[in-house]
Amino acid sequence: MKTYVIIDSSEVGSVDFDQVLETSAETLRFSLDGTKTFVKYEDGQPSFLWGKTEYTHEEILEVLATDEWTSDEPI
Amino acid sequence: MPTTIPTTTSSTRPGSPSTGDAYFETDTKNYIIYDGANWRGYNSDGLSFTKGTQSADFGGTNEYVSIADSDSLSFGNGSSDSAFSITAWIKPDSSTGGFRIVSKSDASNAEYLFATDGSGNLRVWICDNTFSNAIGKRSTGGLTADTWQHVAMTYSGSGASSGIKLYINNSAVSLTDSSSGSYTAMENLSMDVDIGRFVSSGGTSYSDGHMDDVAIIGKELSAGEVSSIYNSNLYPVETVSLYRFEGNANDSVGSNNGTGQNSVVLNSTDVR
Repeated sequence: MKTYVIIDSSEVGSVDFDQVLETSAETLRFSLDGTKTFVKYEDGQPSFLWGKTEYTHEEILEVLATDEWTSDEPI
Repeated sequence: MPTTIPTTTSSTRPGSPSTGDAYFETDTKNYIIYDGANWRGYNSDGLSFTKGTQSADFGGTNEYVSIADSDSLSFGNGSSDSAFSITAWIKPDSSTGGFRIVSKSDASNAEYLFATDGSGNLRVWICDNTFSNAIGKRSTGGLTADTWQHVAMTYSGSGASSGIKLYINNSAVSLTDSSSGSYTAMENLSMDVDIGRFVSSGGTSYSDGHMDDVAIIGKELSAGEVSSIYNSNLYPVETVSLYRFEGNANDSVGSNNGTGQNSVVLNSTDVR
């Protein structure tokens, strides 16, 4: 089961992409204002993410549906 | 003594065929043979594929397939357009979240987008650089959540929204014009093609659900050709790229191999 953690965009440089399921910094999804992004993992929280709030798939979908992450454009 | 192959049509195929049964379809002009599980279609100028056993599963958070830019994936030169079509099998997890099928856009510019909106309508935009200057059409509903459906968009290359048609499960659907601004033609721009993701000035959105057999075709499909794809997995020779998602995002027809991003699942056993 995948687990998700939201991080500040300023922390992207410290992400070890060998320990998360994202491809690279270039493929990350950012909040609309560009200040936040998130990563996901399956086998225990990577040490560089210790202390961060964890979300399930259902929980992160709810977060991503908010105005902070999703535009209200008709499409 | 010539042998006469019995005839049928794509909508009146025998319901309980035996392995090896063969017919000539008078509407699609295909020869079809039952292999014991599926009808296989054959045409002297078509590309036939066996129905696959895997699909792509997009999680709705940040998963997508990227395909590097290629001139073969652009259908305009700034002055005029050429005809093209996109077909896919889709299974959205929700009817309310927009489902991004194929897009060629970035935060500033766009060539085309084939997607559903948040109301379960199938939509297509063909853009003269931006979504502010685009020709477009949308269906009124017609899509169902958590169900495999075949969708197709066709464009004649006319430069007018009247050249756009949409099909859901092999049936042309009535459309509402959703054009905006002024339109001359698409530009041949340099952004990637994405499957399952849409990038615009308003942000980036992702598909939640499954997709299979996503095809980009360099012609305006006729209703009969849509039927051949829907019924027989038979694609015209003008097919540019086909993504069957049998464990990878490779192009089964051309050389535009895709890359799965952010751990999109490319070997889901949930198939149509």
